Amino acid sequence: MSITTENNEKMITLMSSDGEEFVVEEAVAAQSQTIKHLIEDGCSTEGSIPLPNVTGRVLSEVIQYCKKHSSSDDKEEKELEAWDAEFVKAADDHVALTDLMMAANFLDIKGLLDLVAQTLANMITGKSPEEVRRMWNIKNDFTPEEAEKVRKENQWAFE
Amino acid sequence: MAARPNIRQDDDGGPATTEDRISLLPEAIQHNILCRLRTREAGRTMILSKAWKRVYDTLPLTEFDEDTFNADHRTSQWFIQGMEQEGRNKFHAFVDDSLRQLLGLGMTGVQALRFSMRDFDRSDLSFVDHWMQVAALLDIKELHLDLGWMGYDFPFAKTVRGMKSLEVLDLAWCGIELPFDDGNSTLGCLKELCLSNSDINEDTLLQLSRVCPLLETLVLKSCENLKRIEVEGLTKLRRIELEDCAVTELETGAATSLRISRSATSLRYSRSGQKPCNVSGDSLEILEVSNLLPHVPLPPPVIINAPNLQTFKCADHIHRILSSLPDSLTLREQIVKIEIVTPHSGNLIPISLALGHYCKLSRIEEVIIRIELDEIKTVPEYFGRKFPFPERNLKHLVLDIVRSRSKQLDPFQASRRIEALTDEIMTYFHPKTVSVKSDVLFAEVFYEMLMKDASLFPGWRDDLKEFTTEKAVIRGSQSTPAPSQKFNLTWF
Repeated sequence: MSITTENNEKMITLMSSDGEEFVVEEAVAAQSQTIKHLIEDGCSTEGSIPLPNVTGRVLSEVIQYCKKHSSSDDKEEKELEAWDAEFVKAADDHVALTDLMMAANFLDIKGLLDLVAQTLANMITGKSPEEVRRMWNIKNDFTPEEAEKVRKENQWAFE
Repeated sequence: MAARPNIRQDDDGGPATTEDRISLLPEAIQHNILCRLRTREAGRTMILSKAWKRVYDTLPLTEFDEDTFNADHRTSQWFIQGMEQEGRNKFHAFVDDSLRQLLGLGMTGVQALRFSMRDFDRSDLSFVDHWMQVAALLDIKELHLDLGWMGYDFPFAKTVRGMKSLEVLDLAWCGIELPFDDGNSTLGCLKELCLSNSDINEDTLLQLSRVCPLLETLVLKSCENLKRIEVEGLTKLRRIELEDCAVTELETGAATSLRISRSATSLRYSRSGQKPCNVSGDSLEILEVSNLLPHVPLPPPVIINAPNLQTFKCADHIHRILSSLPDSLTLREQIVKIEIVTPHSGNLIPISLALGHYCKLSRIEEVIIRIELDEIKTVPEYFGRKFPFPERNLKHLVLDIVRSRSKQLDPFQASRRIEALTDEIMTYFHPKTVSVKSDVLFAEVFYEMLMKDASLFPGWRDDLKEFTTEKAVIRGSQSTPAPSQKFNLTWF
């Protein structure tokens, strides 16, 4: 990552919660509505923008996403879709996806939020409750009687 | 693609995968995930844990069915008087509340809204109008609207005003009012249009197609007034589906696949008769003919003029469907790929016989067979019967055998069926290469069949040169996708 750029793009520095610094083009970072507002409010002039909710590991992922999506202006929609699919596939466990989701939410990047939420939604589709619990490590805290009651009251969902 | 670090590398030490992170997400995000699912699917999450039940209980809904508010919809009273006003009011209030909640949350996740109002009447009109305005504000991608048989009063153009991001539009029983009065941009993103029980005719369809230039899929169900279809302006069109329609002239334009099907045992077929459907299209590559239910009258004969047609797909009993197709030699010569799906009971031997009769496997290079294992019956009377051998070996066979989720055969029974089925199919086709999209059980059974004692090995074995498994799924509830594996076979 270099500080200068060919087309004289303004660079800004983002700092993750664990102190890692990332230098990115302003146009890339501004895909995050949160960062965009911070820049508009003049926070970028005095050194780096601190992002206390995002670790360096996750932030580097987010930046990858923003870079890809700022350079390709919707023109190669198919290619971008394929790239997105690869991107979430690399994060194939739900912990990585939840981290991304939280970051996308905090940074307010609609495209990324949509992408990750859709991926998580797709993970549930067609799976039995037991499979979902195992996949996401959800502890079943219903007693058998309670579970039966839920099933009975909402039979339409379990038919 | 730029090189990127593997996201799974956990540099803050210790694997975190045993944590239940999803349940700890903020509720708005959990809603964002769940509102992408169909209501039934989302509803099932309430059994996961108490926390998930709470998430579901506060989830704004995206599917609205008036019927669930209709207390006495099974009584004869309903047929005479229609829905009670009380139920109707409750339904209106319920939808209003849900939509308000969706808007209030600033939800970005709402992909689709579904309204089913079988008992629509004039008092619903202003409500539906309002809901559609809210739908436009939510930037939805899919709209499904079923207004029952009184819906013709609700003009279609009004429905979608302002829904600029709409990609899928599914309207049942809605009136079509054209032309649009607010420019061409409304349906500018539309990729899929499905009209059921619509009064649309040739001219309205033509006008409609002008405002959605990006349309890829056109589905028409029970559109009785439609006799001729032309889709010239739709350059992105890929697929046309006709269900229970009486179209006699169809120009498929840019579409590469066409599906003609019947799903209703309606008397109207005798009225509309069995007029043949003349299909022509230079781009057409795939023709699919299917009956969705047993004992439904066959679709009308299809007369095809499509020089690039290569694939023939059918669901249901192939011999019935094949006999409804013209016995034209040109079509036989053209087809190089056949795909068979049996959605309900059938047995394979008649399928093979019909196939052989119809196509003589003359130019067919590839056959794809998709079967629900539990639905297949092997019929004893066919055992030991001599099959007509094909004139040459089939190049490639794809077997896609699925086990239905509802009925679970025990593994022994399942492997017996798989063995009988596979033997039957392989004996008939003598393929050179086989690829299997199925579960591990199938691969195991198949392997055993191949490895049988020399005196027992099946006749088709010698011809087989290559065997590929495309997906392997472990039996039971655990599933792990495995990479595709290719085996080259050499026999001595």
